[in-house]
Amino acid sequence: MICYKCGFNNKEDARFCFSCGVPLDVFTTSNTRRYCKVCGAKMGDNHKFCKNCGAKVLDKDTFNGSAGNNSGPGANTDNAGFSCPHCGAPTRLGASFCKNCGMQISSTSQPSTTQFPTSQPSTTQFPTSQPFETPHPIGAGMPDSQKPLNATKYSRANLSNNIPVGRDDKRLIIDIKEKVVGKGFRKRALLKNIKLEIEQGEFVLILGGSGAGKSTFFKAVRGYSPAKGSIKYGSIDVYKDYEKIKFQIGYVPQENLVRFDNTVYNTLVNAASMKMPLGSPEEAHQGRARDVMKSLGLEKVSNNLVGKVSGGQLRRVCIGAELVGDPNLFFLDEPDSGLDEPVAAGIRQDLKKIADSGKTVLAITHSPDIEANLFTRVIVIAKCDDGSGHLLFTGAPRTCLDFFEVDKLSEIMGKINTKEENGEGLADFFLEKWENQIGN
Amino acid sequence: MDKDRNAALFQTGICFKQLLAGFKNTYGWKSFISVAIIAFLIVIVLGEDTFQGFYDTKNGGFALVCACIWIGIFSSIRSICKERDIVKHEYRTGLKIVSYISAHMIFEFIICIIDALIITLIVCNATSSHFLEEGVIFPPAIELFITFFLITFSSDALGLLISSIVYTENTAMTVMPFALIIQLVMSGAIFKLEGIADTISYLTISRWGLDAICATSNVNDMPEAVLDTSLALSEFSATFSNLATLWAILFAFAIAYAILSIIILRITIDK
Repeated sequence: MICYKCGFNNKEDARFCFSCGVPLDVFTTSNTRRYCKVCGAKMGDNHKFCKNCGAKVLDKDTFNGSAGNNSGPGANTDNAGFSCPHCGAPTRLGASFCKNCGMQISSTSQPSTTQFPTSQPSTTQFPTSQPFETPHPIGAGMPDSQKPLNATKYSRANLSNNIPVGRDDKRLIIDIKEKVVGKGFRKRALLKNIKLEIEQGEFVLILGGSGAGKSTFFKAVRGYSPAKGSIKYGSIDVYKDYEKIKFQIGYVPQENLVRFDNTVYNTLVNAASMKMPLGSPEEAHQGRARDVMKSLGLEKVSNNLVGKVSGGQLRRVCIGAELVGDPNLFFLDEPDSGLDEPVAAGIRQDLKKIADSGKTVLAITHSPDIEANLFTRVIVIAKCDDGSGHLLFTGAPRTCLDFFEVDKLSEIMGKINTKEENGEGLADFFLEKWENQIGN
Repeated sequence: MDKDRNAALFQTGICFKQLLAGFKNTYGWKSFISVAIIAFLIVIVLGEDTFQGFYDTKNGGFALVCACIWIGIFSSIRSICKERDIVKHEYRTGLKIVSYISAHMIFEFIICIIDALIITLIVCNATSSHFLEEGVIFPPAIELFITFFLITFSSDALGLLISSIVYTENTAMTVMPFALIIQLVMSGAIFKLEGIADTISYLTISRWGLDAICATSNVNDMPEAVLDTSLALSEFSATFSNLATLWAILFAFAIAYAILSIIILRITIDK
């Protein structure tokens, strides 16, 4: 079953795409249907051009998923002729963002036909026919090396199958086989078999019960505490080339690790001085600090001592102290811990803006329903009977609700927590369900 | 290599700026008030024969050494352990421990100069009627200032070392009395030290500090020492080489403690 969104070749009886998690029952594999040969989008019988990618389709073609270029994410799709529906620039099949204009490439503008049973009004807000967030300006927030080329250079008429996109892939590929601690008889595996991929610009929610291994997962993915397996960010192996990539990783721990005896402005300037390239002028540090303060709404308290600001502002200072370094990967451990809902929602919105600027943001939180619509992906990790943390689900939030058969993300904890933790103890059940789904 | 060196220097500057900002924002100058109060308490108990008589000079010197050691250790013993988590986080994102400790040492250098100045001014004023007439190398007030500074600075470095070993402020304050007791008991001022005690005393700041004060005061030429030559020790010689050596040893203590702080913090910061 070919996923209509990313083109990944799933098992025939798969209900959810293994790569992106969208439900696959929108399309059928009936041979009477017409599918675009290039992007897999459904086409009308008389359509000559695919309305999704603009490729010309003359006959009744069935989607051929066995071709190398269309075998899913990670494959070289530069020659597949897939193009951005906004500017027409060639891009690879399954890409989430156009590298030319920066617009999001997805089929979520298509209203889903899947019905979600709800017994009561859900507080979770998900976009239905609305497109995703207002696209950010072309190149906003991106370093110069990644800014898109002139869009007019890639008009639809000039499309070529062989034009390379010419930019590094910024996908985070996680393949943790095992994370073991202790020696001898005290040896135990904290994590096992966690394999997933995260696209650039995603805002990812990490869910799991206490002791499931979320922080261990973070440490392993950040490269701080390597696990058995591999973590790749684009072409960089995080474990092997940690020194190259460590400055591209930002981590905001749960504790507020900033000095309270300095002003907000000076704290951010000092953080910028430490994180920005050596030799950059003081004005650049100050400018960067001002930009971060503006983006996080800290301008009014810039001259206040860090110890005198409110809880929400303090979290923003901590986030800002990492953000000044312009990391591409941003890890946050419970960024809204101890904050009330409106403040937590504000912080989530700020994090979403950070993700929209092209950074990959991963956040652990125990309050997943606050502004849940902002997340683009949910990763659920739980401790199973073998005592190790396993991946129970990765995919879109709406699909996650379907998978766990709940109405709210917070209800997932009730399903997967052990009975001693007031849960239903279904972690192993969902692990088996997930493994069956992905065909392992 | 040059890039690493420059990065270390650059980070030292940033850490120093942070310390200065913290000092300013938390009204750190209030600590100088406590220094002045301690100095006043000492001069109240100084005898009339301080800097004139052997025993009064030695006892008074011992009290001043204790005060300097207390001020130095207390100034820095919590400075690293109270922000250990922050340092750990910054270290994981590129902070060099050498830069961090160097910044602390430079900052404490300045603080100790001010502390020593306050102590010297108060002592000189209080003992003006019977103060020393001449020093060994410099005027006596300057020599005392240098000695007080070096005792305070090396004690400050000891405080930094303790702070880099322990993990919490509570532990630091628990360890502090032990550090002080060793300095006081092993100085040689209260007890005549022999054997292992004498060996240990070579590792104390108080011993060398007291020797420097006695050298500046030229206690070997005081009446009691002239009458009882057993009191005149070579460590108290009022000579250029002796005083300079004592100062060099005190400074070496400061450097050694700083280096040990760097090594220990580097090993333990990630645990």
